[in-house]
Amino acid sequence: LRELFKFLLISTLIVPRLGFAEQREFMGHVLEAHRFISTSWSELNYRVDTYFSDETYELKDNKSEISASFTLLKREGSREEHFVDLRLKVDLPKISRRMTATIERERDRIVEARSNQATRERASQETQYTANIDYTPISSIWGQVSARVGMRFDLPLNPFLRVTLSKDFSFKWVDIHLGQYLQYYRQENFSEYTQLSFSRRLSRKFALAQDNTLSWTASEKEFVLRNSLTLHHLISDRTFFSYGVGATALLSPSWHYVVYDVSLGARRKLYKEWLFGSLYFGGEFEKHKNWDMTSFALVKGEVVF
Amino acid sequence: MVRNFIFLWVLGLTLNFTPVYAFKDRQVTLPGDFLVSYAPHIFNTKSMMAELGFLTQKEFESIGYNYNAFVKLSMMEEFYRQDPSLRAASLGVKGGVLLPTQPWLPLMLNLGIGFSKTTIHERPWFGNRDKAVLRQEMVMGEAGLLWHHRQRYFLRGTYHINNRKTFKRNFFFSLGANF
Repeated sequence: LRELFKFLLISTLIVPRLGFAEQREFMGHVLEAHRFISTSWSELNYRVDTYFSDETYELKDNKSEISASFTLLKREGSREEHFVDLRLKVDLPKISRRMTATIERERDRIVEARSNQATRERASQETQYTANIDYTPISSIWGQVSARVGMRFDLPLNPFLRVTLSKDFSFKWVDIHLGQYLQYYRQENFSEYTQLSFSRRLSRKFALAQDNTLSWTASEKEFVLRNSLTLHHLISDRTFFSYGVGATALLSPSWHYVVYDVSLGARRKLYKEWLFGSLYFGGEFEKHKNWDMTSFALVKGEVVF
Repeated sequence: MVRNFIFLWVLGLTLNFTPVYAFKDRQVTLPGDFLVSYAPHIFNTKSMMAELGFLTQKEFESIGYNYNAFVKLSMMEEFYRQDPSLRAASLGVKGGVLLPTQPWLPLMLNLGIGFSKTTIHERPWFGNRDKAVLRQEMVMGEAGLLWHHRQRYFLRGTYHINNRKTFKRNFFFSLGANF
């Protein structure tokens, strides 16, 4: 995979030096390779699904995909870190229905709720497949409640129960989101977070979001509060900027902030709808380092087949 | 190991030598929707396997040959030979086919492949994950024969191969039913 990204990087350097005809020919090969991988993977899953379930549907309704990403994270004072991630999304809707289960690959939402841009990349590597055997969303004027019972595809057995409660309020000047997320895993025990978010669209190109999450996990046995303020800036249909500040606090023995962070990020569709690039710069100010700044830079390339 | 596998393969092919027109319009497959099987310790020394899944009826339309396809959840356990206090366990999924051999003989050829998560642990199913000695992923394949009684209950012998050294047992004898 790393070689693939080297190839892509070299390609982006070489392609502009080629003539127009060579460029078209080269991109033709790239497009053909992408189409081949993408179609083959969807078709393979579609065939497996329809074969074993004995039911048919439109091939385009199969949402199987492959995404590959390469991330380079450099933090001041520590060695650069690489994350290579290959995700195979297997969509077998008919087999899942016959097994009365949905099979998904999920991220750790608690860890992500506590993360800033630099640490989120590490957190997002911690994903697991789960088979969810029950899902019951209930919607009322009081909000939405959903409960999910399932089993992580792992040994020793790790069944779980998750409950999500959420309510959105829309006012003329602000949208408010209230959320409560509770989860119990047999291995990791109980964890939860409470979320209060405010968002406002300032103009066609700017939107402001203020998020507050208070989380607790049985393994760490302490409350962590994260406040963040992010300005989203849509530069064009293909480019998107975000400017953020955040702070993380512990609530024991008393409420005290331990990390402040600032970040500037850019995400761009590099080619069609399947090649993306992201670039983030920022700094963390940690209490145990006497609030000295630790800067970080993150580069990420992502291909979706 | 390879010799045994080839023997089973050749046996299966030999039994399938019957002209396919003999199968046409005859109910030779398992009729149910679900499949459950259990290979207890009593048949399989120091090993256990339990499977639960669903069956579908398939047909090679051009030659009129009916057969079954299955997807099942598979659980396997084996006493770990290096240390008697430990056990190796696997939890995975398998997909495969059941091919009728003779129209007048209730014997089917079982072929399947699968993927599973494995662990070596004192209590591999209900223990604490942090105390696991080893956790790995495993790819497996199986080939064997299934003898069914009135297309409902069956006795099955399968030969297993996998890419891990933790599961040494190759032959499994199991009882099962489809409903």
